[in-house]
Amino acid sequence: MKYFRSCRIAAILLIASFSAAEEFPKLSRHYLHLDMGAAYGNFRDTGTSPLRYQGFTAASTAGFLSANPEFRWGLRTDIFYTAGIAANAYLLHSFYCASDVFYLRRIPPLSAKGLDFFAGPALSGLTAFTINDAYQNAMVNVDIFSGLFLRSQLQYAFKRPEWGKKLAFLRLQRPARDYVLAFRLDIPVLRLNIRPEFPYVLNGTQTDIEKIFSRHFFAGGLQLQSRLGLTRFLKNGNAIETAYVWEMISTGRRDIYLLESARHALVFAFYFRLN
Amino acid sequence: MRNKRLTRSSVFIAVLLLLNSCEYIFFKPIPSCSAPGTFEYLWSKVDEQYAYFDVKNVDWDAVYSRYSAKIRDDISEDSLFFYLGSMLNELRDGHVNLFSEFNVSRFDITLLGPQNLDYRLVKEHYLGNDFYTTGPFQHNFIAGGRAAYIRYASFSSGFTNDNIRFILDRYKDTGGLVLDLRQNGGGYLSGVYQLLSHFITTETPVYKTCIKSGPDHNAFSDTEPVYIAPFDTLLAYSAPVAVLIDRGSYSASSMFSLAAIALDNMFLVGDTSGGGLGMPNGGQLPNGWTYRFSITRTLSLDDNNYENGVPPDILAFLDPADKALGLDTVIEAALDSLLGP
Repeated sequence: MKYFRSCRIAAILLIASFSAAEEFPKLSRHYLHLDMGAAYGNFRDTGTSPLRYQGFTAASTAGFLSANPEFRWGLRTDIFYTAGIAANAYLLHSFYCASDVFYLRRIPPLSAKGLDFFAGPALSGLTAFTINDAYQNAMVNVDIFSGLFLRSQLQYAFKRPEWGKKLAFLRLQRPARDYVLAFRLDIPVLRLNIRPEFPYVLNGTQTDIEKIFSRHFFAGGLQLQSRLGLTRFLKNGNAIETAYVWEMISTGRRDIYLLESARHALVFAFYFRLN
Repeated sequence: MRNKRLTRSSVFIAVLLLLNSCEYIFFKPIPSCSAPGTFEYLWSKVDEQYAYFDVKNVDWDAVYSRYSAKIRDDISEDSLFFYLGSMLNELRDGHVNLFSEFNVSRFDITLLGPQNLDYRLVKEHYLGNDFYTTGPFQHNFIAGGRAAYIRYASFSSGFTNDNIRFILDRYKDTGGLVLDLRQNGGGYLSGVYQLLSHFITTETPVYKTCIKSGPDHNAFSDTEPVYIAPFDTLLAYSAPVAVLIDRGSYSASSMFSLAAIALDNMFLVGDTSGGGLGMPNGGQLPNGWTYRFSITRTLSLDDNNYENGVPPDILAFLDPADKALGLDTVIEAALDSLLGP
């Protein structure tokens, strides 16, 4: 009973401290966003091959974004697929499923009129499945990566002025439009990796699933993610973004077998305003 | 205005180009795909991961000395394949292969002993014309209906529990079964567990297993028993089962033979099995060829390593004199044990 009372008091204090500390402007706009993109990806897992597989990659994202002049938060889920070829003969399929949640605050000393700098934490989880039927019992692999990132976003908002011209009978007109050019970079603070153990494959002679899934847990490696995007706001409050996304993972020296993966994608995102 | 736009576009394109090759700053270079580079890579992989150097009695450093002298930069692809394949065959292991677009290297374990099966003889004098085919199994009554013969040619051919239930129900009143795994070269290990689950009434340990845990030749994980759970405790077949094996009974068939040792109602008849009790791991070489070799050990419950073959309880070989009389010596030896001479 005493324990529950303590918990209740702690919860009340926590909520009260949030309310006191934050006086958020009530201008938050909520968006549901859907992204689609395709481009180039590469993949190398030295547990199975020293070769780098390179090829086509396609990605799709769904997420929620709450944006405000002072802060923004959101969550998203990505699914992307890469078909890579090496030695002109071998095809590797790589499926990634990633999700992240972030909270960014505007940093006034680093911001100016029209130019805003946001920074904050982003928590990310990624599961990678790879299939290459040339590798016999090692043809399927699963890796899990999770990390805490320092996400920074520099954005420049500008307005394209209205433009009009009369040409004989034609009246050409282009209305004023709002744009935001934004560059986002995620730098890892803490990364945790779950990768296959030394022999790389599972002990298939074992029937106990728990014993089969012996994995290699380690912290470290490098994972960088960047996004350079131009967002155009529509009259109805929705927005369209064209972005260039670059992501890379290198599991680093603590990994028994190094994994290196990168993708570059040209992404089109649609933001549907919810409020 | 135009200049401003041009500058903005240039900066945007420059950033894109910069990012496009960014990861290569952090990525390690790819090892050489030259003939010596490929040889070094394969030799090291085997050195660090292969599970049976002691059982095969192979000095892998001596193998390196012998073969490295033959691998030059200007060697042809065919010759490189020949030398790498020969090097792998020093392990005398049917689970070791090298694959290229033009050839596959192999060590044919079946040639280590006679083919102890004449299927024509079996069909003519045991299965008959009215045999049943249930899934991948051919089966029929033999010895005047007092026993049953079941032929299973490959663990690569899957089956259902209903297949097994039908067969065991058909022969439930016989004095025993002859399960013929001769020349069964293996396949899916799950088939071993599935088949065995119909012959046990309690969760039963059948063998022990461990997996390589480091680059040292003797670095293995702890040895752990593997259990098989019964499919149905009431319907399990309890009469004796003679499992026929020969040198062609490899991999999953040898696993089945090893598990049979652990079961009270099963015994092995024929020649020593082919072995192949390790799970093969696969990978790729710097020149694009792929390979596989064993990285686990499977031991009997009393810690014997039968990688080179599981010995039969009753040694029996096809006898030409018996063949002339329409008798399969191995099946007859099994029937003698099942039903008495």
